[in-house]
Amino acid sequence: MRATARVDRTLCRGTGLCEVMDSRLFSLSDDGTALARPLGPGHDPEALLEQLQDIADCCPTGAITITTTDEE
Amino acid sequence: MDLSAPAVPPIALFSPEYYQNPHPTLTWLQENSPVHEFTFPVGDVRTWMVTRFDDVKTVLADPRCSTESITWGNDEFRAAGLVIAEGTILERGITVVDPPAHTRLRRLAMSAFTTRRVEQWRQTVHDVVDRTLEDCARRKNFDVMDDYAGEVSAGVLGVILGFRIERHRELVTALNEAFPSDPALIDRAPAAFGRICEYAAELVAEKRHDPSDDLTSALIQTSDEGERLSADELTGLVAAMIMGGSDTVRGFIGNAALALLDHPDQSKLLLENPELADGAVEELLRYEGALSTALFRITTEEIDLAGTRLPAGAPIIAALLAANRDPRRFDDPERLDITRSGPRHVGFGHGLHNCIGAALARLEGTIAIPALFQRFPQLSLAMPRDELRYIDNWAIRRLTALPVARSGMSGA
Repeated sequence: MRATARVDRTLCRGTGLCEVMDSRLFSLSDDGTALARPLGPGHDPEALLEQLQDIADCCPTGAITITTTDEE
Repeated sequence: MDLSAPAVPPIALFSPEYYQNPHPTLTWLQENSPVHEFTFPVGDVRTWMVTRFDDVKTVLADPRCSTESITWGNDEFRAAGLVIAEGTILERGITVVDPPAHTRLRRLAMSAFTTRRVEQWRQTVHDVVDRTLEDCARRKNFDVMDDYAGEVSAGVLGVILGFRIERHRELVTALNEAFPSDPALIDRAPAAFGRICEYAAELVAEKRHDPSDDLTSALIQTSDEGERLSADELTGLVAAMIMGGSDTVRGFIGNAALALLDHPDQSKLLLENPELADGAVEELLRYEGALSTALFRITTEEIDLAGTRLPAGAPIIAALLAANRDPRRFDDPERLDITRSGPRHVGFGHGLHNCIGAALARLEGTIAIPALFQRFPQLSLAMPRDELRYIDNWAIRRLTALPVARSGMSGA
């Protein structure tokens, strides 16, 4: 399983909550909106999915969506 | 200048003169002492204040700058009674805890506070605004703070949380006592926090027994279905929403109304172009939001902040008002321009504890602010401009009163 995050930049208000929660997974770009950062291999996929879901649930504008695929 | 002397602004921080107009002091600090060490007036606590946009954002985004002062605050800070709501269930409330406790509370609260949910409250806000304007229209003069902004913010919060309107005045008094600026009154703060918690506990008990279509009932239901908050956590969340959603919205609508009265060209522009409302609210939040500062941050370890070394346990105040007028970040920051685009403001804070009710506050602002000027196009100040007063509070920027006349006739 592989989890990926996507930020809808039309919804993002750049509050930076995602970046503070995990700066490995999200960063604010120069224009102030958030970007999801792809993680390299070697991470526990279950833990990563849980962490991404926590952050998406806390996003004040609902701008983060998480998708999972079966591929490695 | 004596280089051994500490940098001190011409008008002292948190002095009576500062509260009436903090901007000259804040600008001076940005220029001369961007990471400013000073003695906080309550309890003489050694404190640092940041005023530049980048530094404010850095502090608010740094996990080593925590709001959890009950854990990280030093002895001096605790002894001064500065740990927010110490001794009540709010001492571990959503605004003053670190992850993972924060994540659990925030995700539950956020499930109720999404932009989509807030959109459903649009009609509620319109109804409260229309009813309040109706009441104002019956008088020649009225006070924007009490008769409009206060009624709208309390009315909307009341409907959304499902609490009885007669509770509002008691709540406003409790809120003022919970966040005093006069050091002599700090002893009353714990009791005031206790009263706010009591109102919240009553409300939760009422809604558990008799659920309705309101936010409190929704929080109870979400908690029961998933995260399983304790009774105290649930009460704390409702209390946090009461505290965060009443006086702040009231203060902002007042500041915005005054800014537009001061800039008739901008209010005319907004009247003629209602589609500018969203951008106007962002600019008004930047120009003079309701929060002067964020909640205290405490360093969890020794940190380097823009070249200044801070010890562990150092209290930091991030000056949101200053950051939003930092010329390093905003072109011509002293100018109100409702068509301004460009960098985002930090009026709702930034990072982990950014305002959870921002979407609701924006909705209230975009409806209530233009509506006031549409209903009363001749609105004018009914008091000399230089007699307007702000409350003596270091964290909240709010007018004590904003008397206006419906007709074009100004003067007291």
